[in-house]
Amino acid sequence: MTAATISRDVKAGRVTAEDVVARTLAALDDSRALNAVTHVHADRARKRASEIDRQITAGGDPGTLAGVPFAAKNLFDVKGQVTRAGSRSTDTNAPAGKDAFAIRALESAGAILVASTNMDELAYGFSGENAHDGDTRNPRDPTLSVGGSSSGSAALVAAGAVPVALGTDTNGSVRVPAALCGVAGLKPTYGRLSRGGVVPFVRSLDHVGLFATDMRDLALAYDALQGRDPEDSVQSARPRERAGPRMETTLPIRAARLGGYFDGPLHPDCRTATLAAAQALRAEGPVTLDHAEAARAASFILTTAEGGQQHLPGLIADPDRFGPLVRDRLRAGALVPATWTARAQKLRRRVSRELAVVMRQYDVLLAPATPCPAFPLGTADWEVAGVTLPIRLGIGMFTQALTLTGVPIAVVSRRGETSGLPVGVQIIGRPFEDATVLQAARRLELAGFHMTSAVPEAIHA
Amino acid sequence: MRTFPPPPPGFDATAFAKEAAQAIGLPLPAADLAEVALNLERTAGFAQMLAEVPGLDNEEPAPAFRPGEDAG
Repeated sequence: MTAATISRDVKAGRVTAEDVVARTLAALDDSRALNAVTHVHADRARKRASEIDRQITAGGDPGTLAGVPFAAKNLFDVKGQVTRAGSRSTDTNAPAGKDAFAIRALESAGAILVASTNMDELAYGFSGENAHDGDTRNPRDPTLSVGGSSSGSAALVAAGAVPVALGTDTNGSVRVPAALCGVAGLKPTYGRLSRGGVVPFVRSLDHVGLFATDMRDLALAYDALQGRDPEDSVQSARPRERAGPRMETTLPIRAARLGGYFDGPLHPDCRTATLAAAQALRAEGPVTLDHAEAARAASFILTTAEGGQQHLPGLIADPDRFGPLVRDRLRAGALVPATWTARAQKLRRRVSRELAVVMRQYDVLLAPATPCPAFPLGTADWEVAGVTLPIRLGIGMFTQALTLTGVPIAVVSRRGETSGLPVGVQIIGRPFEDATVLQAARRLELAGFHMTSAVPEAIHA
Repeated sequence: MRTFPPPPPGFDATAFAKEAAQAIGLPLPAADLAEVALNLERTAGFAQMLAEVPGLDNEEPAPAFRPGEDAG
């Protein structure tokens, strides 16, 4: 069931928020095999639902997301709990004094937090593997990677357990799992949404992002998440934009497909999906972004260097609390010389300018989200179109190349023609034109870029 | 598309890791040195790719501090 439907039904009295929460808790229980959840906030959710029901009984309006259950990556603070960030290195941290801004924003609109979700340790990964909490399993096929690092949030939406979930995206951590799970995903413009109360990974690249069942739900949640947070010094002071009311626009959207670096290696399903999206939007092109490969290199450098600095105290004091997939990468990152990061920051300026020039002619650009559909969990090397990729890194090669520019990017997905697995397409917009990206994504959704939940609705309907 | 571009010729990731770790007070157990060096070598390869971008050293870096806009 979509967030829009739940909210409408709760407000109309056709169902109570308490009933919605009870069904959602049952759905979370049913989806335990996915290992997508690190904590179920059952008591809190029931209490919140009862408040919303009382408000409605008294004639009040809880907001646009009345009674809508949502999950949040275990990187978002939840009052009274230690934010684990998928790591034992956080074991001795104090419990959060208040909820993250994004959780407060969604709950202000009537939504109900039901669960914190599994993730790649410290958000440093694309595979959904976690040495401490176990791997998240893909609802489309439990032997496959769900993508990461916002693995549990994407899995719960794909399984139909929640209609909306919060994630973060530094190099593709919303876009990759959205594509591999077959759900709608959005990485808004850098600085658009507050990161207040979110454990940092790479401060110059971290974004709060989100997943939803469909594009209208994504817009509904995105609208609710906006708002100025005085505690986030990176957040833009630009006024809010309203994406929801503009989703069905018939205004022309000028689109082009990105070629060059984004042409491969590509699994046939990913290539076909990108071309189909281009055809549906009557996209021109291909156009090229000459600095795309260098942009990916720069993102890699900034990520390892800033991530290493972020966790240096823990690496010195208690390195054994870090899992093997991240510890030595963070150690290496802590040793990166300033010359390398300085060039990466210069490349950021260069590629952002290049992209801005390309986008003078187009409202959105299209590119594959990943080089291939979901790969088997535990895989290190995976062949894609004749090229062997170190897949834990390579699965993010097309998202990482764009993250440096900070532009808004949505992911739409559809079933791959040969694999039967979800494949995703990135829709790239101009800075702070997130609503245009969502409009284009909605058009693609209507053109067939949508997948239903992996678990029958009957389980929790 | 280069999976892992090569580091600059002569870059000794193991020696660099040992020296740099000592300089910043980061303990580096001998058993973990090879993996740290491998990651540094990969990062050096990506850094070398940027070193080869024409005119990049004359570019202005991206981060800009905006006085008065710090909300903290």
